[in-house]
Amino acid sequence: MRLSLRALLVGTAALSIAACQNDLALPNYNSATVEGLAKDPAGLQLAATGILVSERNNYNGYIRDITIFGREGYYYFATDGRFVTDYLIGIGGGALSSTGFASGNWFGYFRNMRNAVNLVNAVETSGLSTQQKAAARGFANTFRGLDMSYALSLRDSLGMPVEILANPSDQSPFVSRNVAYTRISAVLDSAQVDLAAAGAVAIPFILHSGFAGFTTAATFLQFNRAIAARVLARRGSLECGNTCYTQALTALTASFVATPSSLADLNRGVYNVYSASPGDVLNTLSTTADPNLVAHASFVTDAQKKPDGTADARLLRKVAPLAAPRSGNPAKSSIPATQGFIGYASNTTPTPIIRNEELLLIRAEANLRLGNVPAALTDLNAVRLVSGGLAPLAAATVDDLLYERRYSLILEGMRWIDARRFGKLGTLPLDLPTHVVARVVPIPKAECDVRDVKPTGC
Amino acid sequence: MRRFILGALSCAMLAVPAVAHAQSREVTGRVTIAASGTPLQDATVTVIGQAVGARTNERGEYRIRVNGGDVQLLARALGYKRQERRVPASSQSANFSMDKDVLQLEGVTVTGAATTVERRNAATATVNVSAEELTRVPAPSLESAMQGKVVGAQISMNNGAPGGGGQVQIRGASSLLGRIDPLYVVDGVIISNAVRASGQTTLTGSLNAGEENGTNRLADINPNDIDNIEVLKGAAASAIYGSQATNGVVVITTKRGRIGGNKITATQRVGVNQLIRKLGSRHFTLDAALANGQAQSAEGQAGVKAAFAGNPSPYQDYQQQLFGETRPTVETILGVSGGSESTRYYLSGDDKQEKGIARNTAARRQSMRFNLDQTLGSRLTAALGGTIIRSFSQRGLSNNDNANSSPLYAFAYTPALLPLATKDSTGVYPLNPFCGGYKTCSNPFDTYERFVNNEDVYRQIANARVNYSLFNNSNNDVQLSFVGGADRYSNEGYEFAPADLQFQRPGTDRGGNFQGGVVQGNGTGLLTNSALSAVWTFTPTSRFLSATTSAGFQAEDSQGNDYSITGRGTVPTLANASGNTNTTVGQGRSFVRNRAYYLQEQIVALDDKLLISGAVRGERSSVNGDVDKVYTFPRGQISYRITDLIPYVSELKLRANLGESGNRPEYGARFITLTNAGLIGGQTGLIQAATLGNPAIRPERMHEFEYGLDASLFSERVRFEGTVYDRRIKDLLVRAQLALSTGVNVQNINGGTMQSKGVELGLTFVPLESTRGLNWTARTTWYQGTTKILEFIPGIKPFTTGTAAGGFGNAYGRLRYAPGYAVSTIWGNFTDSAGKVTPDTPMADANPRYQMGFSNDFRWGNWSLNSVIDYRHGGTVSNMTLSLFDEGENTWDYDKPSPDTKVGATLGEYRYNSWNGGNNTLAYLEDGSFTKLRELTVGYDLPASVVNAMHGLNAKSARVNLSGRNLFIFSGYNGFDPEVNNGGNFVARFVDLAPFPPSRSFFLSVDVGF
Repeated sequence: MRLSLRALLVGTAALSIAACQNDLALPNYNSATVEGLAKDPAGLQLAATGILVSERNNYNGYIRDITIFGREGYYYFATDGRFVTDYLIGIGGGALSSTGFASGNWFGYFRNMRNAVNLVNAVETSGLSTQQKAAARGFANTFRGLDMSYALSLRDSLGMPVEILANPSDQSPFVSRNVAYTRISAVLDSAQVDLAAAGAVAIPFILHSGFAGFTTAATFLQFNRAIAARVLARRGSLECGNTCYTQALTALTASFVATPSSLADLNRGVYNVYSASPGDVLNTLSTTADPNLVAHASFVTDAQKKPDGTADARLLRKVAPLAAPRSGNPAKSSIPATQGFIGYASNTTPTPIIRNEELLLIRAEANLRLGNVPAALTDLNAVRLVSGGLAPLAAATVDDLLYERRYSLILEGMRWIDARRFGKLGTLPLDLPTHVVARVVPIPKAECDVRDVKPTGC
Repeated sequence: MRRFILGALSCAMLAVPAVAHAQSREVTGRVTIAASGTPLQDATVTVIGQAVGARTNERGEYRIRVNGGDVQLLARALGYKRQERRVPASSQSANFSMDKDVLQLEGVTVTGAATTVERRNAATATVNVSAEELTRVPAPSLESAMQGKVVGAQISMNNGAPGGGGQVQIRGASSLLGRIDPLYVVDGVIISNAVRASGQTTLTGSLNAGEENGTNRLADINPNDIDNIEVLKGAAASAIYGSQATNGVVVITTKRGRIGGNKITATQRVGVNQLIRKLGSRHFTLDAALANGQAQSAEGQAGVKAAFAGNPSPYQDYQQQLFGETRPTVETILGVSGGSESTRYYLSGDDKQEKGIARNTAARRQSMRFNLDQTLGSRLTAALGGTIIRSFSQRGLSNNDNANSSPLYAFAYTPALLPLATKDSTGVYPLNPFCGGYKTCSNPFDTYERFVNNEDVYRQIANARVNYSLFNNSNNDVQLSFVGGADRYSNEGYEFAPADLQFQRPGTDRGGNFQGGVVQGNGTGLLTNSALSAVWTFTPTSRFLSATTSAGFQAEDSQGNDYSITGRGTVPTLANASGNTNTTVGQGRSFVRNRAYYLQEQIVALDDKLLISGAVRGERSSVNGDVDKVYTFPRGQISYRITDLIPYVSELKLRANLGESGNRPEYGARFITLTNAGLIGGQTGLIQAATLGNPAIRPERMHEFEYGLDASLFSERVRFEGTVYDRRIKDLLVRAQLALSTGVNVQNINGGTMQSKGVELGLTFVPLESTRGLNWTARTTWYQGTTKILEFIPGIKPFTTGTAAGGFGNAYGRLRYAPGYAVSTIWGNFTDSAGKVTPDTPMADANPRYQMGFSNDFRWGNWSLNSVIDYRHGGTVSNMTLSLFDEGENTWDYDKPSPDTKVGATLGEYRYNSWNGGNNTLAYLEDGSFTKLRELTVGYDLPASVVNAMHGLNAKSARVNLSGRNLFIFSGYNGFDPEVNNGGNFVARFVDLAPFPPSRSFFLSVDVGF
């Protein structure tokens, strides 16, 4: 009896040791983990590239949406009429369906904001130097601010949540447009501080060719200030007013804005890149990749003439008649398109995130609104001459500014936003009596459904 | 010796006569079968109250050494009622004449890793399926062999493709997002029942792997090697399998050698499968065919005209032409067994070649098994076993797809006019001009001839059991045991769609970018588990009680590695993935590790009338959020037998079981992961995964209360078993929809409660019993169970899983999990009398209202007749196959009179129009009640005179069986079979969508024993 009990105890003890020495913290073989990012130098690179891929993948849909809302073009898809009905007609009263096709990207921006937060967290525990860490933070937060600005551009007065909380079950509250914009500027400014502190180091990631010339902390800072200037100019035309326009001018001085003498000068900037490699994507804003995207005929009729009587060179570079008119679907809810976009030569032509031509026009806008008309005219006329081949203006109004922005930045997602912030949505051309111009893109129903506190946009 | 006895005495618990061996004597005798007097081999004879026993030899003889004085001997044998006999001190012999255990009262039931209890004391409802019941009628797989025999379980085959593929659901659904299949254990080895995704979806455009109609790996298990199956339902198994026991455990015990000379058995079976129900299709007039919506292309119109040229009523019986094959299925089984007191062995080999009812469909299972039992000295016994299996299947193409490649999908939209089954003079099948035209259709005859869907499994299962008798005296018995084993398999899949198959050609949905495709893949699995247990049984001399204390540790690992190469745009004349225009690779791995301990106390007292037992199991698992946290699963049970108290009731047992078990999370669920975003500038990017992992994930926990009453009546001619269960599943995994603005989308969390309630009744009676004349045993079972979602934690909204198995949206009905509703509720669009449409309306229940099983066994001399009938009452099916045919204006009953000509001119048009584009889901929801004659067997044992007359054969016995499976289905269901399910195994089954049609089978078997 005693013997058996002793044996039992010894056996039990031996077995318990055997059973406990096994490690149960087994890895995940199929997916990289957020936790593991910092532990592998390659992890940071993958996370940084992830931000750039998402940026690019979000970009094309964003541009297409704003192109349609701003009546710069249409998306005529043969087997689904919702690209016409949901975008151009909506659900009545100028509103769009919160579950339809025109409910805009939302998740993609916030997901990329979380990517930026994940990268910042991973960087902190990585083996990077202090300066490299600062550069990496500056990189991540610049994109975080950019993504916030995209989301807010679509929702505008509906506002948006602006924080990415550590626990995803916690909901960051919606804040007003003004508060959101202020937060965006703060995020971009914090990136500025980090990039400045990084000194002479390179951004500690391999950046794709669209960043040529912007790969060090110092040059990336120019990109950061360019985005900051765009945001500040928008704020200038909204609640913030001249304070922000003044800040925009300051930001521009630290950006890569430069007086142009050629198209190449105007195009200098940061780009998204594409390729036909498996796993990569094509530039779907190019007609070769997606023939469904066609241009609005008013871009032809509204174009100014050069002194020689020919049309604005920007029209000739960017839009041309289609070989055959393309019908919309449903036909009764649309008019046939006669013009197509030709700006992107191939299905792998890069698309600009921001470029010098826009910076010149931001500077012109700020100066114009601050009353520095000669300075504004200098930039406007430089763009008119180099980009459009047009004669200089002697005086400038907001409408003059908007003409240049429209023709210089077509298919870059500006016209609808510009018309809205200057109160000119009513000037956008409607093809049919049933058509409307949406003011904002709704908050997606999926977001509204799970909100504990329903924001005004739900 | 003296010192030891003193030590034992000092325990003050024992009062053993210290003179045990001084006056021992030998008792001998014979054990025979009551009716015939045939010797009973391998029966055990034990001395009650002493750990002394012997086994009978081939002549039924035993020899046992007992104490002096009067002793009580107990003889037992599998399949026979126990018998006790008092042997006075003066006597030295005792013979036993054993009665058959028709009511299955004898035997033991598993209660722990190393413990059992007499079935008559069991506190839980036990279900046993014997070897004879399993193998009387050959079955495509084990699930099929169990149909109609397990009360409390819904067992369904996914469709009629050869090689198996079925679902066992015990006591209803117990999880929404977690594992839904029971745990299968063979001789102590946990085996895989995984289904491998073949990648066929890439070639056919189906929605997900469930529609690929793969086989679950239970198909590898050879039913002929099985001695017994015991089904443990839920919490009854908690002490043994803890966090894997919620869905029940199917404990499979294989055949072992018995004492006696070399016994050889040979079985040869020949059979045939046959389409059980043929639906046919619409018979067209020329005008109707020209107007058919599927014939509006230029080639469609030309096809109609060609068919009617010179033939006023062309009709092709496509279903018969494709599924009308009756090629022979052949199975050969050889077994060798035998043994001595110290060594027993069992060896078997089996080769089964099953042919499907469609060409190029077949399944083949080859297996070899050995079992060895060895006694090493007086204390050590060891048992070893192993199986090697090769399992191959060709299951064609069926279920949903997006290219009209699945035969019934294509037939639904193809007016049966043209001889599609006939090749032209160059040996090429014609293109099917219907279902919209050449570019949107397929010719199933061509598909079945040339599309390849092969699954080839090589599997090895090994098990070992070592038992060491550490200590033994007349009051105490301490045993140490080790049980371990491994299941290892590789499952090789090969899918090939030639580039010139109609649905792979340029311009088609599948062939738009790439023509032709290959998927070559392999999935391997390795499951190992081992358990160490110590069992101490204490029986005081007074025999007032017997207490069994057991404790032990268990370790279980399971690993999987699955990879595949997909090639699209095949190289002409080649069927390899390499060199294809587009190739992709995929890989998924898993590694799960569990560690557990348990402690159990089991007391049988009051003259074996009372059982009280308690157990607790603690478990850690690598899949839990906290891998170091020990989750405990307690259990308590009690039963009491009342014997000979009430007139006509020889025994009445009251029993209750209260226990908890779990269902562990899926591998990887605890990790917050990143996902591949694709390339930019030649660099790969990783981004936050939209589904957020849950670092706090824990097992789902089922709390079950089960109670019941068993009674033996009228001199054990009638047996009643009744069980009621009420289970609550807490910490149910549910899908939390997160605010998109958090940057993640969904997360699976422990946040729901579900309740299952049910009643299981069984009634066995023996109307006729005689030694020479007619014997008749009849058994009826009744089962009713429902599972309802009680609540979700705040913030969790009703959700759907979005998989094809959960249904095809509101239009056709789908599962949607919402508090207050049964999990099997089918939700859809409801149109009220004013025409208003309400989506997400509960419409019907996929779960049967109740199920019954009827089995009858007759025996008359050498003849036997056995039948199993399965009845299901209710259970709604979404008859999407019918909706396809109606949409194709091509249904077998399309031209029958319409109930309301304002809605539709004919019955088919009426149905389709009243469905109203999916606004009225009810139009295609149908009652799935059925009665099936699952099994019918007539057997004849050749008389000894005939067997002996077969000179040169040296046979000892011979038997001939004529049997049939699924011979008849009686059902008002307007389709092939309400039992099928498009998405394979799922929480609830209700989608009938272009299945491989089920078949009936006939077999002739000859068994010869040498």
